[in-house]
Formats: sequence, C-alpha cells, structure tokens
Amino acid sequence: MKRFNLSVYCLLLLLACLPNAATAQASPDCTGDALITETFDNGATWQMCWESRIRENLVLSDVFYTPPNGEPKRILSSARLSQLHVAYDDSDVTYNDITQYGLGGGYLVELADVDCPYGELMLVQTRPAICRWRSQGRDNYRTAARSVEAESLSLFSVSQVGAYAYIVTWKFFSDGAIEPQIGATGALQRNSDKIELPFGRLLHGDDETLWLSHTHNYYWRLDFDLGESANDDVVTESKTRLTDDGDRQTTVEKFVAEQARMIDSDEPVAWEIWDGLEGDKPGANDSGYRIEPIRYGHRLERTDKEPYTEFDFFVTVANECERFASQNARFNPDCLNHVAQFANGESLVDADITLWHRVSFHHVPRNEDQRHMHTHWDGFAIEPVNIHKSTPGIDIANNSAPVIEDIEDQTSNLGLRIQWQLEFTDADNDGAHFSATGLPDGLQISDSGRIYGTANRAGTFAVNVTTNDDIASSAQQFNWTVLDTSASTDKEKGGFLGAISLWGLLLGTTLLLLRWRRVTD
Amino acid sequence: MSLLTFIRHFFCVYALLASSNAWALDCAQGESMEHSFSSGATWNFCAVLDEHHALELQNIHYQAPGDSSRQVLQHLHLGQVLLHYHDRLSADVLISDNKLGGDALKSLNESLCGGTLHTFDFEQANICTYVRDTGLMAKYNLRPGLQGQQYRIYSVSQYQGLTFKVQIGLSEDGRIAPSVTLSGQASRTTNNSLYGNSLVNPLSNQTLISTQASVLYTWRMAFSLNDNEQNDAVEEFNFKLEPSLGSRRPMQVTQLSTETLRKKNRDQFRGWRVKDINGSGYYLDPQNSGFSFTDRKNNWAQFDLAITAFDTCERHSRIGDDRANVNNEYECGGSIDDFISGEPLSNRNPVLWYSMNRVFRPKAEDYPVISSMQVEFEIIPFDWTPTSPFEVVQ
Repeated sequence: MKRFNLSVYCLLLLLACLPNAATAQASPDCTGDALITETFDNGATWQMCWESRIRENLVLSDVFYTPPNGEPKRILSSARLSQLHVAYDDSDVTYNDITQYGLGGGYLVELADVDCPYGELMLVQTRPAICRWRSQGRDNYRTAARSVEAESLSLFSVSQVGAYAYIVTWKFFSDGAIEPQIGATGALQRNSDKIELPFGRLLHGDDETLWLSHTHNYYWRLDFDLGESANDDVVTESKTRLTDDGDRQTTVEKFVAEQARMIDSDEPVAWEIWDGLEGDKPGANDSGYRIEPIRYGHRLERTDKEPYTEFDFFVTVANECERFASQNARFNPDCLNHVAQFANGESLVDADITLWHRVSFHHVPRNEDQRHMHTHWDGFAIEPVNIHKSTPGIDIANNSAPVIEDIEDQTSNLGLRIQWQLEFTDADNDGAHFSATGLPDGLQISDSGRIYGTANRAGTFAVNVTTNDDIASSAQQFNWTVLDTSASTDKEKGGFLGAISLWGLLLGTTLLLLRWRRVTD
Repeated sequence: MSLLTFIRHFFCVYALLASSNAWALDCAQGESMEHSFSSGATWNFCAVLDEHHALELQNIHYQAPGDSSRQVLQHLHLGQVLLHYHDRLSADVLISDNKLGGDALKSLNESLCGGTLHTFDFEQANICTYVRDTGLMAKYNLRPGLQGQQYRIYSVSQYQGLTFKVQIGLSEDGRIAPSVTLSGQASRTTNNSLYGNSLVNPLSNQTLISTQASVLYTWRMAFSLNDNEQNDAVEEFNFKLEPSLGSRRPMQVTQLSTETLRKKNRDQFRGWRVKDINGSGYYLDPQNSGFSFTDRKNNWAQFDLAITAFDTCERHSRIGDDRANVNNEYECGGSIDDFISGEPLSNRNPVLWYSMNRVFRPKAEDYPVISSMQVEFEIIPFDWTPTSPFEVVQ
C-alpha cells in the first residue's frame, strides 16, 4: 500500500513538472483582493484578476468564464483600453490621453457611495476608485412563452483628464457576452475666441466663446487566450454580399498573417476568434467569440499624420512590448510606435493573438453640455459563439413539457361561431404556445391556444393539438364532428331571433298592462 | 448647506412642484401615460397599439427639471421591417400582409413583462413598462455623480416563431431610444454554408446549417417641436476633413428644403438636427448605424435616412403590389421611394425615417431560442434647454 501511494505521489509530481501546455490553468492566477469572482443566478460565473496601472488604469487578466452547468474556460489573457485619442476639428494637433497623461494614478478619481449606489467600491491602494456593480438590464432571450434578462457584472472607474471625466466600464454578462464601454462626461475642454470660425458652436449665455467640436477615438486591446493553449487561436472574417440574383452570400476568410482591417458599410462584416479551427472555415464544433461592428457611424481618418487611423480592427501576434495603440515607443523605446506598424505581416499560425479595436465618436457641443455634460456612451459587444451547447440559461435536460388539459371529442353545428380557450399546465411554470392540424374548415388556433372561427363544412375531423414551451412539446388528439342541421344551425342567428321574440313578448305584455291600467284608472 | 446644495434643492423642489401639476393628454388614440423621475423630469405621451406596426407613441412631451412640458414628436413607430433570409431572393415584409400588430401581438403576463402591465382598452395586456438605472448620467472630478434612469415601454410581436420586442426608451435627460430586439425560435435551415452557420441542434443533437438573415428596421419619427405650428426645420451637419486647411474639419450646416434620401457618412461624421424656430431641437446621430441594407427592389432601403413632409397616410413604407390596399383598408402612397416626391419641407412638419440593418449569424447559443439581438438608436436633445437642467455650477 505504501509503495502504491509512493507511485501515485511520483506520478503527481511528474505531472506537476510537465510544461504548462499540458497542465491547463483552470482559474485566474491571483488571490485575495486582486481576484474577482461573480456567479449569476443562472449558474454562469466570471473570474478574473485586476490591477490599476498609471497609464491604462484598469487592466483585467486571466479572464475565465464558466457557462451554466459547464466547465471554466479561459477567455482572455488580458483586456484593457490601449489609447484614448482625441482630435479637435480646429487643428491638426491630437491628444493621446493615455500616453500623454494616463487614466490611473493621480488621474483616477476617488469615488463616493453616491457614485456607486447599487454596487460596492473597491480600493486602488487606499482609495475607493473602482465600482463593482451587479445589475440586470439586457434581454437574454424572449419567446412567446418565456422571457429572461441577462445579469451583468459591471466594473467601472472614473478618470479625470483635463475637463473630461472618462468612465471606463467593463460589463460581463451571464450569457457569456462582454461589453467594453466608455462614458464621456465632465465638461467641454477646449474653446476659442475666434467665434467666426466654423469649428465649433456658441452655447447659450456666452457669445464670445466658441466651443470646439472634436472626436474621441477609443482603442481597445484584447489578448485572447481561448481554452487550454494560448497559441492555437484562429481569427476569421465573415463578409456578407448581396448577389445580382438577390440572395446574400457570406464568405469566410481565415487570417494567417497579421491584419489591419477597415469597415465597408456596404458589406456587413463580423470578426471571430476561435479556440483552434479544424478546417479553413468554422464548423459546428468550433467555439470562440465574435465582434460584430454595429455602432460605427463615425470614423476619424488622418492617414497623413496618423496612419493607424485608417483602420478599425487589427490582428497582431501578442507582444507585451506592443502596449499602446499610438505613442507606444514613448514607453517602450525598443518597440514599434503604433498599432498599424504592429500589424506588419507576422504569421498568426501557432501564435498568441491580440485583437485591437477602434470606436470613434464625434462630439458636437450643445447647450446641454454646460455644465456638466451628460454622459455619452460608446462601446461594442463581444459575444460567445458555440461556447455554450445551447441558449444559456435554458436547462434543456430538466425541462418538462407543457400538458394540455384533457380534451373530449367535440360536436358543433355548421355555421356556429366558435370561441374556445384551451388550458394547459407546466411543471416548470413556463408559458406555452399552441398549434393544431386537422381543425374543421373555417376554424383556426391562435398562438395562445384560442380556437376560433366558424365551421363551414360538415364532417368528422381528426384534430391534433400541440403545445410547446420552446423546448419540449406535448400533443392531444380528438375528433371534432360538425353537424349540418339546417333547421337549427345558426345558434347566433337563432339566439338573435329568440331574443327579438323575447323582447317582443315583454314589450307586448307591458303595453297590455299599461292599457289595462289606463282602463282600470 | 452650501449655496450649491441650496440651489440644487431649490430646483428639485421646483421641478417636483411643476411635475405635480401633471396633466393628461387628450389622446385621439390610445391611452394617456406619464412618467416622472425623482429629479422632476417627466414624459407624457399617448400609447397606441396599432394594427400594423404594434407599439406607437403619439404626442410625446418632455419636461426637463425646471422647464415646462414641451412636445417633441407627434408620432414615433416602426415604419417597416424587412427580414431577408439569405438563401431567398427577396425579403419578407413584416408590416404588410404579415403585420406586427393585431393577432401578432403577444399577450404579456407578469412573468413575461418584468414591470407594469397595461391593458388599456384591449382584452389582453399587450404593453409593459419598467424603469432601469442607467448609471452615471454626469460626473465631474470629485463632485458627486448624478445617477440616471430610463423609462421603457414595449410590446412584443411574433412572426413565424420569432419575437420582436418593440421598445421605446425615454431617458431622464431627454434622450429617446427606439429599439427592436429579435429573439424567439430560429427555424430556417439550409444545406449551403454560404447562407448559414453550422451548429449542433441541442434538441436533436444533429448538425445543421442554420440560415442567416438580414433585418432592416425603419422607424418613422414625425416631429412637431414645441407646438404644431409647422415651423420645424431639418439641418444636415457635415465635418469634412480639409487637408488644405491643415487637416481641419469645418462644420457645414445645410438646411434640407425638400424631401430627400440621405446616407450616413462615417468620415464626415454626418448627422441631422430637427430644430424649432426658436433654435431648440433634437439631434439624430447615426453613430449606432452599421451597414447598409442594399435591396435591388427597394431603392430606399439602401439609405439610412429619408426625410418627408408630414402626410397622415404615409405611415409605412409598403413594398410591392400590396401597397395601396391592405386588408381592404385604403392606405395612401407606397414605399418611401414614392413618398420622396420633391415636396418642399417648409410649413410642413418633417418626418424622419431612420433605418438600421443587422445580420443574424446563428450559433449554438441561438438554439432552442435566439440570444437577443437588439438594434437601437437614439435622438438627443440639442439646445432643448439653455444649460444642463440637472446641475448648476457654483
């Protein structure tokens, strides 16, 4: 027995000594206050490490997602904002806030409870400066029978750079989605006394100050490490085109070398990163994340001075030395200077991959910006693709089908108007919807189980009614006989005539009584 | 109490008093509804469930804290929804024979609503309202942040197993955010991967190619700012880069004088403002727009915006031959292509038709129920008030 235990010990020791690739890390590499863990009501869990840096401020690392009833899966090695680039309309001078100033350190605003009323404040060194907020607010899915909202974990901080206050926010949802967002608030930064120039607007109450229009360009840096190995991720681009025949065809390109890509408004595009890819195109067993640009009505391009502004999306080999989207060499003198240079054709095969994504917003000053300006939010969504086996939050295995209450064979008359609500029970208290085949001609069933209409053909009909809660269904069969009894067919009509007769009788009786009363008076 | 705090409290009390004089709109259709936030900001409108397009808000009034209640829009509703499964040669037209209203409207219960149910004159509850915290509405350095809220009203329609949640969000700071959220059951499959995505159906464990679809939502916004005097103007803003001016971007504002079709221009940051004669208005920024919905049969569908002069019978962008007769109800005009007839916009209320396209790319997460796909935009107050109505700087 001792010898056996010793063998097991040696085996464990050997396993522990194997390279990292063979012993996959199943949780973030941090503890204590540096570790964030959030488990939602549907069982999904997010885990990650965080730190606040002088330049980027919030940097998330070792981001893991555990689907409901699933296993933890590594998603990101690190995620951060990599530049906050601002260009004013009146000049060719631009600002690179992260590298020129920074979002952390002294620029990070100490938060009070009133700034984070629904969550809890986390300390950066000794100052409360990160708000952690668990909230609801986005639909997860909705059917005729059920509706579920996705919960989210929000992490945000406020950095005051000049007059602007930037609310850098990360949202992690219970359906596996991630949304980086920035809210820009505070006050307008730059103005001019040259009010005749067309670079801004005069605001109420001051005819001598021109507040200048400007663009915020947010560059996000996402180092994906999907699954057990960091070096097997693959990036694809899906583009959809309308053909001359009128159908729409989607082609998929697998990137094998670093890329800088631009959005073409006429060709809907989506970029996907996969945890390995068996072929050239993703199949049913491939899983990963998708970035679909849907909020790209603005794009700042100044290719003469800043060539990286031409592109919206970059794919590069991960390199810690390539830290900022612009002015990178300022802090990494041995490295290239901007993200367009990073994307210089290196092979992506068997490489650790980093995605860079730019979102722009052009701000035209309005009266409401004075003061203080209402937050304008900009961000994008990173959504899971085949990370789950099915719609997250729906427990397919343990779902009970709705059951229609017993239906006996039916008989009705031709021409009779029918209104009949079917009833059902569901052990999970789900809603349900209905369909039917074989109903008598002229009758139909609504989605909520109401059979209605007027039968217009006599005969016996074999009816099959099905109810389902979008996952499971049950059915009942019965016969419905429609009788052609011409003499007493139309109940409504007969009822109406009957009613006339009754009213006539009442009226006649009343007149007779009045007449009798008058006579007796 | 500091002077600043005193001023803030004064405005809050004033706003609450102002909002306490709430008045009900005289609604020609639907029901009068109102929502007030704790700041005093208030929305009033008539809520309608239309036979064709489901939720509609009419006579939408916004009252900023300390301000009077003023009208923004006469009508706000979907003007068309095109659903194009990629393997088909044309799109399904949802506001036409199929409809989103009438029998397509889902009856909501407490579980499906998650807020307050409204039955109005209808037999079943078809409208739901709720309020969401939207986070920091304004923040400056160490000053206490102001938290914002949005009041939301929605209906749900069903079409071939798909659900369309038609929602209008009314924010405390005057923003209006219409949206449609697609969910429900994806039922179409294909055998050609050019048209779809491979996935494993969790109910059958079979591999299938689920068909992709492009969806175009077109919203109709009939403006009538402040009053109904038909003096609103529509302006287009462009900020074109001028290399000859040292990479500067002069602002060009052009008043649109006749009915027209317009596209967004990403590089020029194009946007549109509707303003009243006194200068107050709302701004439509196509920031949330992604891609054009090119459709060879419908010229208008490739444009992001159409601007027409108000016409009571131009409510939907009808497609094809059914345009003049829907369920035997006569409706004027046809599609937006017909509405753009060169009419002048002066002395008429402007109607903005804003379209947004999104591609549904199926994945395992969409089976058995599609993970929600929301398409939203917003119009924001632009010089509606002289300053921010929420905060006063000392």
